[in-house]
Amino acid sequence: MWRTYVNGISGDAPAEFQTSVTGNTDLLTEILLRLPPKSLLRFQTVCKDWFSIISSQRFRLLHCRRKHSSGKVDGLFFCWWVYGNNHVDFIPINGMPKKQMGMIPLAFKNIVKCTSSKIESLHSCNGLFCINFNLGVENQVYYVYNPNTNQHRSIQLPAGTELRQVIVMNLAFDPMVSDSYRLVCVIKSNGVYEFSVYSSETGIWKDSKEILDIKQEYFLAQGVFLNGCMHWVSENGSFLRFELDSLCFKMMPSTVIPNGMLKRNIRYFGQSSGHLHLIEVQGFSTMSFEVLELESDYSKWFVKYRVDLSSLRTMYPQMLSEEFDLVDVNRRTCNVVCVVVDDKEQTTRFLVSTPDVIIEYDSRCMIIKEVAIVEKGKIPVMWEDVSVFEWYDAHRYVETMACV
Amino acid sequence: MAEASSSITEKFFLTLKSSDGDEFVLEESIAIQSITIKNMVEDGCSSSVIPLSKVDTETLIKVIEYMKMHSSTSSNEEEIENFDKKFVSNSINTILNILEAANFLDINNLLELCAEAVANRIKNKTPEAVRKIFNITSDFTPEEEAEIRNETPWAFEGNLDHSLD
Repeated sequence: MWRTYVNGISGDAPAEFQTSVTGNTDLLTEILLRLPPKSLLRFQTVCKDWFSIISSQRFRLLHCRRKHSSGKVDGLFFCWWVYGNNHVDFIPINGMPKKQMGMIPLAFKNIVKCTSSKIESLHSCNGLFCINFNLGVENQVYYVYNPNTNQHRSIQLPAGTELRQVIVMNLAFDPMVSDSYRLVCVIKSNGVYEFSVYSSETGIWKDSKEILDIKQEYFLAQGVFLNGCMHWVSENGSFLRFELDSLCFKMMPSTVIPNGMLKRNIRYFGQSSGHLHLIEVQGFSTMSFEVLELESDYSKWFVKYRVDLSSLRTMYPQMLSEEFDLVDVNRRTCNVVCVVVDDKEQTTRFLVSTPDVIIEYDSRCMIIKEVAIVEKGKIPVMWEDVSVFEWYDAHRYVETMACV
Repeated sequence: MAEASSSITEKFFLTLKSSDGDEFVLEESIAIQSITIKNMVEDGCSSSVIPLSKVDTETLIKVIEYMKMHSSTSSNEEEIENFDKKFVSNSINTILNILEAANFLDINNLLELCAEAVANRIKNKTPEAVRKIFNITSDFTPEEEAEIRNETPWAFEGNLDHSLD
């Protein structure tokens, strides 16, 4: 094997060799890029060199891109209203330590150093959140927030909103395209909805010429951002696709409203790994349903998954009795709150909210498992003892190092 | 005819010299996984000994082991996988040395393997342990450090690893 082998294996590596990795920023970056966000936040305190690498915008973007391709969800924020009081709770999905659970929502509320502030609404996109605080009458403030890094930026409203009413703010962030994010603001004015788009790069709002009839009921607060477009679904109107670059609506297929019905019964709308998913339920059966996916060319919706969760009844007989299902037409005993496509493992996981636990249903192995326990008393009381989160209460959280 | 000629293809050998002065003879087809060596061969520098002044003997032995396993057509995927698993169980200092060498020799998959291994080994560690492993003295004042900690207290929670390997 060896022609000459003179000195034998040398002893311990000299000390200066250890420091050379540290002195080589490219090499150190290669290591740091492979660390989870939590480790990076901790290692910012190692020394000033490490701090400046980890906090640099270039590193943050590279790290986001690596992580983004994994498509996994680290937790769900739930934001809901009970009798005029809002609640925010965080449920970690991938084994996040318990202590961290409470800390992040607390930091959330601490952004506005005002005791009377209420979180009015949340919208999340790829790890960043847009939060609307209500500081009292006619005083709404908006922040873009990264719950992982605890960084936030206050957002000035578009000009002229003193006279018009801001309805919702939707966040659009795609680290694979850019490290800047955009906001879509829906404003009610003279009996129509108007649209304005903010760019974090320029800090400027641009108005769209498009308008929307306010008579139709849209899930405007639940816009889903994908491929440069914000998508909205409606119970009785046509679905919408709003392109942020051109500030124009584009073709978007809707589902058919069932015969004899005035509106659709939408139970989920979201995206994962580049696919838009929609769940509509008809009649009483809530335990088995179809999940629609939109063709990537926007030609039509098709049935992608058939999910049957009826075995949950035998797993949790006390809380999911058949009676409830029949009596309870509108209030569900379980709801899909998140659909996660895992390209790597070639499966799709459905996170389902039930009264006591969040369960995960794996479409490939058809296995149901508990992923988080929902503390009783925290969840909204809706129908005596039966209470579950709705899809629009849930906001997915992924740990990201993205700058705001 | 073509088969016969390929079976008697002459094997070329290269001599690599570590920073400690030890010389290793290696088949050229194996050694050119290193882009640095490949470029040298293409530039006609391969007739004499190739000095690798930045790679010590211990590290060079490991790198050659890796290149042999990853070039050999007889080793299957499972063998390679097992080899890699065992390879990254070396001490963290050894892996850092190999990482440095992989960077110098420009062997991309070895660099990725080592970077991933180091990241895995340090991800649950305390900043103090990381400083010791990388031989770093903190240049933050206690106040500055506390300020960064207070930004994201959740990152310092949980069972952290104080060990140095």
